[in-house]
Amino acid sequence: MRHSHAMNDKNNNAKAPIATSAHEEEHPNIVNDQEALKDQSSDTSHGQMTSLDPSYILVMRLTAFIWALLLSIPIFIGDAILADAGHIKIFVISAPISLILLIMVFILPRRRYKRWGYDMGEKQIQIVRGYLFFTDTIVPFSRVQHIDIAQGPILRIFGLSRLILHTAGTHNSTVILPGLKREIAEEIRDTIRQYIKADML
Amino acid sequence: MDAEITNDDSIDTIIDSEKLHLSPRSLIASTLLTIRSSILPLAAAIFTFGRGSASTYIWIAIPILLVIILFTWLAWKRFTYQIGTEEIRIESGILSRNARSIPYERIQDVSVEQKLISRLLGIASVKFETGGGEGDEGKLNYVTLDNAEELRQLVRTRKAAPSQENIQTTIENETVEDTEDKIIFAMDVKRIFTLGMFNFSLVLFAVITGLLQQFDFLLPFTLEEVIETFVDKADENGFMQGFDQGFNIVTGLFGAIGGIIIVIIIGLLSGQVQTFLREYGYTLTQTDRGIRRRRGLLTLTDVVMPLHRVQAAIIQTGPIRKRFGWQALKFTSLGTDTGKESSHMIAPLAKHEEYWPITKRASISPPAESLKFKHSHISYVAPAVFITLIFILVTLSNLIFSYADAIFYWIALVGIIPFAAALLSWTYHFHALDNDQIYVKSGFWNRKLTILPMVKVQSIDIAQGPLSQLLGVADMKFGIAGGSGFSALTIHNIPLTIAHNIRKKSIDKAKNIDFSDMIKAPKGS
Repeated sequence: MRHSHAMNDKNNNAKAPIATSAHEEEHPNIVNDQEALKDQSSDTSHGQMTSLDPSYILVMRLTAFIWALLLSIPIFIGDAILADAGHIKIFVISAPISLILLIMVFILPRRRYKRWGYDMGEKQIQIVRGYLFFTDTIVPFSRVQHIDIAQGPILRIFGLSRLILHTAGTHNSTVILPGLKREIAEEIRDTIRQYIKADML
Repeated sequence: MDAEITNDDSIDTIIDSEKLHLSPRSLIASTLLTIRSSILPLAAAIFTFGRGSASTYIWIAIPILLVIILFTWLAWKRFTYQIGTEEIRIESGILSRNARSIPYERIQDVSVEQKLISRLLGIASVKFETGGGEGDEGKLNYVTLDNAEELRQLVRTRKAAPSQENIQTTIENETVEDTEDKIIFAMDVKRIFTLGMFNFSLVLFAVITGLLQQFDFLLPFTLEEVIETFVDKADENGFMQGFDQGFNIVTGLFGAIGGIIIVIIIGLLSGQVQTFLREYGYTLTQTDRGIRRRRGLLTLTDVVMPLHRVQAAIIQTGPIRKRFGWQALKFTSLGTDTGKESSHMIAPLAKHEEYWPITKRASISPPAESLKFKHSHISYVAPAVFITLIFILVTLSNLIFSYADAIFYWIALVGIIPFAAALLSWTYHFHALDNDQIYVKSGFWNRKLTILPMVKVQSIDIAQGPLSQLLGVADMKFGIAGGSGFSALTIHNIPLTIAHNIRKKSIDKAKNIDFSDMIKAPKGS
């Protein structure tokens, strides 16, 4: 019961962006860069989009950290070998790469998290993501083929899941929404499932 | 588990049965299959590393076998499925868990498969296919044969119950199958010859030279030997030394021109051969089940494509054939065409008065005369400008450090090519939309007009790179069922607000029609 209540709240929130886009349609000819920029920033703000669970930042950080560790060990060894042979000065390769990896572990996860968001519409789900490369996807519920709720070991530690929507499209055949509390992922799944059923009858 | 905790009545009705395990006999089958697939690499490993006694092999084999059994058992233990009233739910994974829900409504096909091992054990694998892109959307490896049959029946009845019309249409179609087919498009020999002229191809040339190189051991002489003997003979007769410098250039030029002419002739010939082999006797007929295409000289292919499964139309042409008014019509459809084509060829070489009536049969209408096609934002060429800039910077830095080598000017010139190409393809990239359809034109050499009815949209992305975010432009990518995944229909670099408007309009059309209804045969077609 508690979950469905939360769901209703979300549905109320969802009405806001739809209203704005309806407003946009009244002036389809406005092609102003400033306007467009404003529109984009409002798209990603927390006001309209539902954020992922905050602990997902830690998940991203942890995943990035594991990758960084796996990548940096061979690089440091290679760096040491080359320096030892007198080809380069020590840390010439590993220092800039370490810097990039540090950014990926400590700075990027929070920024990427801020860009992640979703919005449950009445008959569609909107998912936004990406920091450098920003993508904003809408999938109508009526186009969902089947739904996965997946959970890797790291996500499990934080009690999070990944919702995966499968469509028949060859582009976007899977649309992924990570970092959701298990209950919320299940609610979204059941909402979409209900819609497929409701339309059938 | 969580679904049981939630006492919401709507959710309760979805799952009505307990979690079922696969047949324990599948443990044997899976173990055997894993052993079978790992035996070759193992043998290879032993062959390269080991020269041990038989007992060493056994000591290696036993722990490997135990690990295989352990993981097979774990995977079995962690794999459950539920047969609900509305959906099938499959949970799987040892470390990474996955819970999949497949609504009956979306299941297109249930197949029961038995291979040798499963037949011996009396078990079968059951596959559920939805219209999704991947193929096997749900697979039960394995359940007992009785269970498999039961499952198939159950899915069929649950799926069929709410939509009686589905069965009716198929019966209806069977009764009227006999009516005579109406020819809607055909190509005579002259048309195929014309098509062959455009299909200039060096495939045959490549195949012949490739074959000669592959199988030259079968010939009594090799290519090199032939050339060498020719050169030697020429040398002996004093040909090579005999020519003075100027004469040599002239012969070289004639040789080059002759070579080019030969290559062109071979290209044209192999184009003709390929085209005639594939397209001979091309006829398109309208049947009750859809459009039927027959073609081929040696291997005759016969394909029926249901019109209601058509997702988009592609009208393709090139700069030269455009001058003659020739175009090709393809349909993107659910289910792939024979061969590796990503979309179904409908009319390889046709004039507009021939192909528009065909698209209309698939409820796709031509763009209205008044429809205005719009250009993309010029930032479309930005990535190419970036590449060109790098080339120019390289040249400049070389000038500054005074390695004034002529080759660097050439490099700078080469750097212009991507920019020119991008500018050219920007010139030919347009989009337009009316109330029902989206039109996208692209390509200079391979000119395409894609017409996508809005109701067929599966998903829409609005994507922005760093520069696009600065400029407030975006790419729109459309998910379409069928076709190839590599070339998603994209409108590049349009103002963000416009992208949002196009998307809203399309999604509003698409969201009210369920996919399952979309691919169902219309009543009384």
